[in-house]
Amino acid sequence: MVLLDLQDHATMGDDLPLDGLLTKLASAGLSGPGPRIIARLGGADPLAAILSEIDETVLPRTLDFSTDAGRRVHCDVVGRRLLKVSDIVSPSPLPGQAALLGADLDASQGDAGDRLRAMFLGAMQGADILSVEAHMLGRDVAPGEVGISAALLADMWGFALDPDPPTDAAAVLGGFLSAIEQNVQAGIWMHGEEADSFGEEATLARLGPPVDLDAAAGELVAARIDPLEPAPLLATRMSGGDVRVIARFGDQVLVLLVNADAEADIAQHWRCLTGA
Amino acid sequence: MTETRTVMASLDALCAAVPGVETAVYMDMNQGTVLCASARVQVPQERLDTLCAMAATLLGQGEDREDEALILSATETLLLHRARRNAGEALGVVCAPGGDLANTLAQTRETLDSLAEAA
Repeated sequence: MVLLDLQDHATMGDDLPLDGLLTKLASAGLSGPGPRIIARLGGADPLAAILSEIDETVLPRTLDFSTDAGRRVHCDVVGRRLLKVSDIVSPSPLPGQAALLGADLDASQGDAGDRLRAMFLGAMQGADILSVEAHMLGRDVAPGEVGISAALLADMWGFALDPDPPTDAAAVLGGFLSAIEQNVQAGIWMHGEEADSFGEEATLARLGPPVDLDAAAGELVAARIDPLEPAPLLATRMSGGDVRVIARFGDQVLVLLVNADAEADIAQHWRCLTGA
Repeated sequence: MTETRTVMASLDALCAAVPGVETAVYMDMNQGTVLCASARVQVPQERLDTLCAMAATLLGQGEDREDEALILSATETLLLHRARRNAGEALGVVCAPGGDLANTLAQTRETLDSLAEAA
């Protein structure tokens, strides 16, 4: 992704038409709802991408890994640990499938790491794209289910888990804005001391009192679910029905007025782009 | 008591009917207390207290108060809706990411409608 140069319009209160602003964001990728692509042929290592997804999963979830070659591997995950491979869809059995499918995993099984690696590599065979979709785990986690941590699997497979989130805030927020463009009436994009605004003045005024970075960031802190992390996205429905959205990525914040009933679409696009 | 049972049944029905809904909470924002809760997993009291505080903060109490809030985090989605029958009460729904959020929003609003009719 390419960091966008907004310096030409980098004073508070500068107005840009939204399509003009979006033209500057040509490098920012669009994503639609549904599974999220985490690795492509020639890009990120798919095994590292799988481990990263497991490592980012704290609550009980089934991660549905799927490839464009038609194979799917469903993994039960909680607390950054892979509990079991709960389902496999493949035209032909994957390496180690019989032993892995449905079996409780734990680190004391000396060969579990090797089996999992071979199984995932088999699932990726002939595929160019690996995607993931998270679902709620449809069962209780038994007290004895300990699983194998993503960190341990990373050690076994020779990877270092990347603790740093993507940092190209301009490209991520640009991609988000492009994806929801048809629902956006007006907005302000704040980066550092500067801001770009778009939309009619009267519509912008409906965003509320003078918006600044600290105030918007403060609202996200008030909306935090994780006590240690401000919420990345907050959407509130206003009395007229329209929705005010605050989205933060890195040190940049978007404050938007969007059409009524667009929250679900907007949230879906945000998750697709950021994985959050 | 009958009213509490009605709310409880509605929360249970919401949790059961909508895939991805993990917890549904009916709150008194003025008192900062949970009136009823239905959850697929046990929810610590401090978590419920946090939901109450967030509802009071985000839905506000003034003239320009909001009616709904949607919050995303890395691991879940939180919906907060002001009750139609009493502006000081709210319904909170915690969902897993990856679910059908449009359906969850619609079902949550239907639950609020049914509670308003039952009041």
